Amino acid sequence: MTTKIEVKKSPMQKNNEQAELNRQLLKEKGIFALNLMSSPGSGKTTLLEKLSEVIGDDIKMGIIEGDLATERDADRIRAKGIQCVQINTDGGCHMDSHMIRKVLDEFDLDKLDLLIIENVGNLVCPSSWDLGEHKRAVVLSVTEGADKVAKYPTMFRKADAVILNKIDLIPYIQFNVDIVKDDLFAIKPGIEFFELSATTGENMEAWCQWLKDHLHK
Amino acid sequence: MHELSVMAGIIDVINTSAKENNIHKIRKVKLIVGQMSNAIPDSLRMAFDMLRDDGPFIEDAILEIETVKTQVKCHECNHQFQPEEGYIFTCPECKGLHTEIIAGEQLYVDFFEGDKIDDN
Repeated sequence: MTTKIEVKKSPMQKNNEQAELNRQLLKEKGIFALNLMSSPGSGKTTLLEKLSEVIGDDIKMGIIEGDLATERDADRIRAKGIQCVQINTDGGCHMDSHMIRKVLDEFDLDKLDLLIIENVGNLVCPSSWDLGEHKRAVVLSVTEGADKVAKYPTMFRKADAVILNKIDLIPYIQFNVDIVKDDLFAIKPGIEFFELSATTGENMEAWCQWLKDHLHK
Repeated sequence: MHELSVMAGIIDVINTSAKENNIHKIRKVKLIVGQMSNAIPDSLRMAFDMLRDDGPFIEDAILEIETVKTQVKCHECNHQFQPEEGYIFTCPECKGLHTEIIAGEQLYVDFFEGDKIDDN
């Protein structure tokens, strides 16, 4: 005889339990953790390179880099004197909370103030996976087109902040910032929005201040 | 294609529950998949076909998916609505901005049906 078993369980449960442990551990250590997401090529790594120049020596930063392959981004961050651990997902389209836990002990957690997790470049899958961060930010570059917010609503709905990058290129392309803002505020009213250029450094201070305002120490 | 890792999690949930309930053969699996869960039903079906051969409980099972449309509640006027074009979360009644997704984000195993070990 066939029996029916009610389950009502999410396949994300194990990930979410580990994420909660990560979040608690980081908070206990006084570390503010940011999950930084975007499509490939939006300028996340350049943004972190520039951040390392403007954030100041009194804030100790660590970075976890996520990519399918290579240590290239980690090497760029290390060249700035920032401790960085590279995670290669070997084809996986996102990182999960267990991957983060495995590398946390490579940092001296007692000395860190800020941990930034640069997620795999992808505007879909990473938004489903809680890594144990305290806040989420999405980077959108002007070269991707102003329609990305409306096309990938889940990613933006789940973010706490959106960074519009490469604004120095706006004079050379067709890009309407108002479309981004209108879609964004329809999807997530009250979301923090920064317009900056990591290449020129324009408006980097505003985003840097937002990070500082969220530090636990 | 994160549906593959999602499905690996789903099969793990089912196998664990099957062992706990002395089920040796799973006949049917029912999933609830929200429109905003970032999991595409067709991709989940493909992932199920790829992974169920790892059995041993699940290789003959059929997969049933119930999709749930996004439903939003306005905290200013209590109006409930489905977001226009899938992404406009501003309340169409009062233009309120304080809205909450009350359905459409879920992704879970609702139930499964299977044969008990002592059934023969």
